[in-house]
Amino acid sequence: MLKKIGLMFTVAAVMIGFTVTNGIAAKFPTKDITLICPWSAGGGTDTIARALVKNAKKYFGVNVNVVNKTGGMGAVGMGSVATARPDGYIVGMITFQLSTFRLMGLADLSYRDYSLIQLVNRSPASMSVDAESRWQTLKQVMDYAKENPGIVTVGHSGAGGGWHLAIASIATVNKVKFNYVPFDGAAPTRTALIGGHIDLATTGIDEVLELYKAGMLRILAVNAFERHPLFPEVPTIAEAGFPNPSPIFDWRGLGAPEGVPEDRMEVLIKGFKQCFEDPEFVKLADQLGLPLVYKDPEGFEEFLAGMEETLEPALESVGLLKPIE
Amino acid sequence: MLKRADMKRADIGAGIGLIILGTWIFWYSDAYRKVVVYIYGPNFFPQILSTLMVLCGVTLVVRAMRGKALAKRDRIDRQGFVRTVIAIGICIGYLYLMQVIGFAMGTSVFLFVLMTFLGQQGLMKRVISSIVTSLAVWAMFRYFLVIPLPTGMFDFTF
Amino acid sequence: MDFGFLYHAFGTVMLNPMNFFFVFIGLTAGIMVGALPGLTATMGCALLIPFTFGLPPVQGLLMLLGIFCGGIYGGSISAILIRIPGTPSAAATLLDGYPLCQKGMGGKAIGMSTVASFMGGTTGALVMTFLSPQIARVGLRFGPPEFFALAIFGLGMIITISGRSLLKGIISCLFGLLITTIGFDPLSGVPRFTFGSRDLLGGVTFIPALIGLFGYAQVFRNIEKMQIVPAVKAKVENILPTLKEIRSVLKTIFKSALMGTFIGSIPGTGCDIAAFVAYGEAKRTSKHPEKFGTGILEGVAAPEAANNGATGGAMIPMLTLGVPGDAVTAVLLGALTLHGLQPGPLLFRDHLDVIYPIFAGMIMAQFILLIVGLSGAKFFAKTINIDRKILTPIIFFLCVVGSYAMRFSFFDVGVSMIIGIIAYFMEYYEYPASPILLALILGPMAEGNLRRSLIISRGDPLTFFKRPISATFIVMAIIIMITSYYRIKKAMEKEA
Repeated sequence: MLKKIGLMFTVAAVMIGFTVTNGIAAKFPTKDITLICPWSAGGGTDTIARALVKNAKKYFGVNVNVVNKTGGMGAVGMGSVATARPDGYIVGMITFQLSTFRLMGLADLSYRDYSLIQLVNRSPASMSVDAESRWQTLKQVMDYAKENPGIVTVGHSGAGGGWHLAIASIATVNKVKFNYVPFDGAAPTRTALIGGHIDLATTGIDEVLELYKAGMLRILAVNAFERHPLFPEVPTIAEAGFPNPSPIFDWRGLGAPEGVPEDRMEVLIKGFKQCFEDPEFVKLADQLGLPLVYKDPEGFEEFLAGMEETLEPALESVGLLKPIE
Repeated sequence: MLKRADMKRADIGAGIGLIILGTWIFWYSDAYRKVVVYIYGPNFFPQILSTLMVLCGVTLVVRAMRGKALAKRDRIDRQGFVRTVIAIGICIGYLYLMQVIGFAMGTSVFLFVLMTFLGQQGLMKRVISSIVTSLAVWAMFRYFLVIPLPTGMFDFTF
Repeated sequence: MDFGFLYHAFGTVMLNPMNFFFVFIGLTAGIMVGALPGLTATMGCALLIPFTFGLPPVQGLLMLLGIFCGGIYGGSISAILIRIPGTPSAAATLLDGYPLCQKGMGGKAIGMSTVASFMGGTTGALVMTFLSPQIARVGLRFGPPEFFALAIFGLGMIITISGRSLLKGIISCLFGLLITTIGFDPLSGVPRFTFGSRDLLGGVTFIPALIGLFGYAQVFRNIEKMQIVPAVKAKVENILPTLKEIRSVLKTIFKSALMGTFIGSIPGTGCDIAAFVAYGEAKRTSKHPEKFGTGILEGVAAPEAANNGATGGAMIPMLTLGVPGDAVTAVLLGALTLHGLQPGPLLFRDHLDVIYPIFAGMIMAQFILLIVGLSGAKFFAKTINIDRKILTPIIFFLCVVGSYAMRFSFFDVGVSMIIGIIAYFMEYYEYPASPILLALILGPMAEGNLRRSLIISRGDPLTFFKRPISATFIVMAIIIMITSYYRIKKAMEKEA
């Protein structure tokens, strides 16, 4: 019945041609929702976003369209979500970089500028070497690097990114000096690794899944407390001999502009949770080796607050800490 | 040759401009040295480029002085230039208008005004071509490519 | 390679009318998207991914492949007709395409572009079908020093596209390179020349810059010259290039196609670089280099054969290693993933049921491209016969939309228009726009890999000469730069 009234309302609105203000329609959503992805099409975040909303129509009654708004390490897209009209029709993927913008002095933008919806995934870093590398374990690499400071080349996906900070904080704690080689994303990093141009690569563990399965590289350790279900034979960082009490994770989540009306937020939170639990999405994440972790808005906020605390010393150790006050 | 003298002046001006710009960039990017994480930091590439730019500027000035400037082939038509500036003004107005009355309507107005300004004859021809174009592109973006366009105050319900 | 299986796959793909249909739809949509300034093949693929969800993976992919090939080809149409490259890879095409159009030979230029695209695309697709694993292995040997050498090699092409003054071409190029340093520097984590603006943190986006350089600048010129220069009427009768014309450019086409395929197959380089390199090479080795840029069919055939060859090339690292060859294949990679197929070395080994149809589809796409292109050429060529006072405002509007649509940002429209105004003035003082574009394409590649190489070698600049591939490229670049400088200079003096 309600649905019918909503439909009639819609029809009426169409006949007039427009509704003058938003928010007249009581039902939400009445038109397609836009999901802004701050990274380019074809990348990891984009793929997850598209997979997540593939069946959104089932849960929202409308489509959720992914729109890529790229640039500035995600600051452009994420910033545009934070300042969008808070009517609930624009939501955005928020990613790890959001935790670093303020700390690195890049943009005055943090999780506090959003009405958080949920956490989607949390990936640990992995350290891998080429299949033909002389090193079999992380300990061998660290020992060699200790004796020859600044010789071992470590590729990562960009300065100040999660993987750079993950390996840098391990290196700092263990007093090892690496020669860091920044690449522009995960794909060139792993290509450089299997091409033999760098000694060690830090990437998300899911990002090297295919090459690992094909036997083209060896994963020395995963930077987490537990082993990864898809890589049962890869030791955790502690098992490899370098305990790490606060590992840095890459994360992706969903947020809406601050100030979206409560009832609409409820719809969004419920709808995206259903999308998140959709068997098709779960299956895809499984294939990708992507550890899905759900956190509700409160839990998500707590996680992000903790993240900033972990990142501060890590950024300091690589000389990138320049917080905006 | 008058035109060559024209170009000579322009070349000397541009050369000096390049020298100043290059020096400024070199100086400005030197500040990035402080935030160095790597030996070849963010200042490295801009400083190479600005050095080359200064060199090019010097060469340009020297060549022009020696009378080696190219002869100019084409000059800006004054009347046409004014027309261009006005057209740019109309376009800037359109960018603001679009955000108030929406993409489809704003575009129709813009096209019609610009066509009229350029002196296109036939009222119906102008009206039809501007409306058809804006509607076609609007529909393509909205329904085929699903790209959000400014809606303005008339927020379509779906 | 299992030829029986391959043969079988070709049979099933070719004979299924539905496959034919999806490639056709994709290709037509691709040509449209490609021809519109600002909408690129990359964007077309990304936007149409949701439409493929309902299809089986192979058919969905065939449609996306169609968009890819169509988009790269479609860019040349607007480059030829209105001097605005619809896609970055068509920027080299306009150097001779637009002068041809001004001579009234727009239709013939499109016809030549279609034939060259078809031949180039087929070459690329065949190389991909039979040599993928071998070529992928070569691609892996490209590390930072090699990429830097390749970027230098590419930048060397400014000699052939600088017009009358090489010095001014170099200045344009430096200007472009400096533009690429604006924004967040991913290597050091520091924002450069952003002056605290969040919008500038993303730098000057490539597509709006492209539209500024060619689109807006051309519109401004059109408006200025409207009363002075008489309108060009396109002859649309003779679209098809004659056999003689094709034979005269056949060698160029095949050389360009092979070069394009190879350049495309190196991860991280794409159709745009391929097109410029092929144009430069065609001009350098031509018997009449001075005629390039004045409107000759060879100048259209070379870049078009190369950029369509590069489509096949770009697929190689994606299919064999799961590494995107360029921006479009990155999107295709995402699409494969969304269809539940993980691109990577295992896909090529275990999923020949997907790989072979892709090969077949790619070849099929070339034939459909030839048919669609030639039958559409007449129609496209006629568009410039629309009254200029109607057409110019429409092009103006398309520039606005094109620069907006990349990131849905009015900031980009503004940036684009400012670049357009600068480019408009630069043209009058003989600073060519193409070197800026080349710099925008190659700048990030040159800077990133220069610094990366020096980091890896701990500051040893000789690293570029200690490695065979990078040394070869640098030496080749130097030789080509010197020889083309003298050849072109000589030819121009002879003419003058």
